[in-house]
Amino acid sequence: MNCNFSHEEIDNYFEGEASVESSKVVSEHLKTCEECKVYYSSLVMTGKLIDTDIKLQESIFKNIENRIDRHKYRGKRRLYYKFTNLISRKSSILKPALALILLCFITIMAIGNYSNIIGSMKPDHNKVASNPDMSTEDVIKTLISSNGGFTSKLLVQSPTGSSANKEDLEQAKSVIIKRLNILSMTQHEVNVDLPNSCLNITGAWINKNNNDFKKTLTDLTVPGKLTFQETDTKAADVNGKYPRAGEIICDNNDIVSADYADNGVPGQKTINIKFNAQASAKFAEATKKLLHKQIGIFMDDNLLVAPVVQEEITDGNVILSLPDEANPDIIRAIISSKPLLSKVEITDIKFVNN
Amino acid sequence: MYEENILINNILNGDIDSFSALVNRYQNRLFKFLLGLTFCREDAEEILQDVFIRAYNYMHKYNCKWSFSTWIHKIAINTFKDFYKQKRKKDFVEYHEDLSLYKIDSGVSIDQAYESKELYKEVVEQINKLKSDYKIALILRCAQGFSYQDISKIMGVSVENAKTMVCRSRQTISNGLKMKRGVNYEL
Repeated sequence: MNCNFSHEEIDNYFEGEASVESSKVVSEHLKTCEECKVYYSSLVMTGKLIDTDIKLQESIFKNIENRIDRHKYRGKRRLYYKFTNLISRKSSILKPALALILLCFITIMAIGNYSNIIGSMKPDHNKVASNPDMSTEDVIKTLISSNGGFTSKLLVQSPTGSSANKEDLEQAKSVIIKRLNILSMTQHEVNVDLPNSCLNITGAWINKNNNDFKKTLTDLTVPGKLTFQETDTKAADVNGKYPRAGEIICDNNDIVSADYADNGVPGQKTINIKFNAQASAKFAEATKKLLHKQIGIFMDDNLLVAPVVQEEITDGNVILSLPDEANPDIIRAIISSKPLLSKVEITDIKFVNN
Repeated sequence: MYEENILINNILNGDIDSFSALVNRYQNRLFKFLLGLTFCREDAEEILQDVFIRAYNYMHKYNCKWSFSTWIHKIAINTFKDFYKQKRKKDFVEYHEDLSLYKIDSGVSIDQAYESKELYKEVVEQINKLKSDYKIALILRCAQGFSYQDISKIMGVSVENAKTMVCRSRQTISNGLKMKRGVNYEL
């Protein structure tokens, strides 16, 4: 009773999908094989049972009608559903595109996180500096441990040559702080040491741009009085220095702001100085008087430049073209602050963690 | 197919009459399918209503590139499965065997009619013993007349798998009957 006749062929015969030849073979076989006849009978019975012609007595729509939201695809919502329908129709394009965008996004996020991890290994200057829980001293210590920094002692002498009093030290401190702030190379703290007439500076590098900082600090400790004067270039001495030939027109105290400027000449170092109203008027008068003559711009006793006045300057804006050897950062830091009234000298400077 | 797409487009423009037309077009076909799965008129009708409600609510997600018949049969299968999941949880009711649905050929004797009824009962029992997916594949093929290609799309299986499921279902039913009755039975 173990017939090996293919049931698949009987299935095809039952479904009417067998070829004429195969139909003949199956038909003949079913006449003789009881086992296959039983199988075929079960196919017929199953088919009869499930392939009925039973129909619903009435439309079920009446029952459904009360259970659906008739307004679902009307009004404003219609646009939303039309849009989602469009998306589902275009899903074969949108799905891979979205997958690609997601992949790019994850990659960018992963790279961003990696950078953050790398970044978090070193304290971020801005984060450390803006942390309200840390004192300035702690902030500087933390930055020195990661970026390196310096400590320095500045001896301050009063303008009269005697030991500096508290007022002299405070004036020097405010000027030095202002100049260091404008230079933006360090995160720093300046403390007054009254008994020793000193200022103690502790600073941490912001960008490790600390090349020859001793010279930078020395440059920053000059009195730094910027004056615009009438001068006589023909009267230069053997060292090339000009004597002051006229009255001072204006100085640092008249400057409202000093910013980097671009006079359109490549490589030319320029600073745009803006005078206050009172100095602007004085400057306008002076430039009128000195039209087509030189005006001397001095830093302390040294002549920085002596440009020829081309026209009367009435708006109080002066573009100062610096000589090649001048450091515009230092000049800007100095002229943005008041002049140092005391004599300041570096007695000690030490570099930490460099 | 073209007419169906017009109806669906109208439905998405808020035309409820088009939905009524779509229900009328598919209700008997789906009823037959669900009857084959449930062997119970009440359940089949209840599921059928849920199928059309679901289809209406998700009509905006229908992609007209695919056959609507395939799409709605997919919904019918999911609704059928959900229906019995809930029902089993509620009162542990098993599949029905409503034999009053099936006509006995006229002109047969009482004995023959009784015998036929008994036989049907046994076939239903065997069908109900099938795994859910095998049963669905069998009904899609025997009652709905879908090609194996369509069955594979509806059920999300390969064409070969669809064929195997139908073939094994038939053999299982035949073997079950043989075990009960031996080889001496026929309609």
